[in-house]
Amino acid sequence: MSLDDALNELANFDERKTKVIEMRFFAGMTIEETAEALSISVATVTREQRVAEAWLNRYLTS
Amino acid sequence: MNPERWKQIEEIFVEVSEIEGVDRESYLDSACGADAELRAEVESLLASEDLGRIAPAITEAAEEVSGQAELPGRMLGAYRILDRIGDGGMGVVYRAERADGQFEQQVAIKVIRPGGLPPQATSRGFSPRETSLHNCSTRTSRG
Repeated sequence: MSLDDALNELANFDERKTKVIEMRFFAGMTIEETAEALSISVATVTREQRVAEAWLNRYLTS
Repeated sequence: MNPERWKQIEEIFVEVSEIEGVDRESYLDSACGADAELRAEVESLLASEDLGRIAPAITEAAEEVSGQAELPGRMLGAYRILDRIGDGGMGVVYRAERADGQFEQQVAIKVIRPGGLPPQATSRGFSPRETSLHNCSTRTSRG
C-alpha cells in the first residue's frame, strides 16, 4: 500500500486530516503554521495529526 | 468510511488514548457497549498509534521518484516537470507547471536525493506529494 493511496483514501472521508498530514510531514510546517493555515487551534492540529497517524499506520501495515 | 461512524470511532479513540492501563478497558466497555465492530476499530487504531510507518513510506516514495533518471516531461501528481533548474548536495530542483487545468501556476519542485538528509529531516521535509506543494505555494503567494 503506498502512502499516496493511503492519503487519498483518508481524504475520502476526512479531508482535514489529510491536509494536516501533508502540511506537517510534506511541507515541513510547524503545528502553529498548520493551525493558522487551516484556521483551527493548535490543540485541534495535534489531535487531528494523532488520529491521522494512527489511521495511516494501520492502513500502511495492512 | 461513513463520516458519522468515523466521528464516533475517532472520539472514542482520542478519549481512550489519554487513559492509561486497565481503565482503558472499562472506558471501552461503556463507550462501545455491545458494538463489537466499533470496539475493534478503536482497538486497532490504538494498536497502530506508535508504529511510525509514515516517515519510511515518504522515504520510499522519494527514492522511487529520484530513481527516475529523466524527470523533465513527466508528471508528478498534477504537475508537469519542465526542466532542471538547480542541483545541490541534498537533491535536484525542477521547474514545473500545474497541468490539470485547475489554475495556471509554475512551481519549483525539489526532489530529495535518498540518503541526502538525516531521517528526521526527510520525514518533515520535502517529497513529491503534489498537494502539499500546492498548499505551500498558494499559501506563500497569498503572503
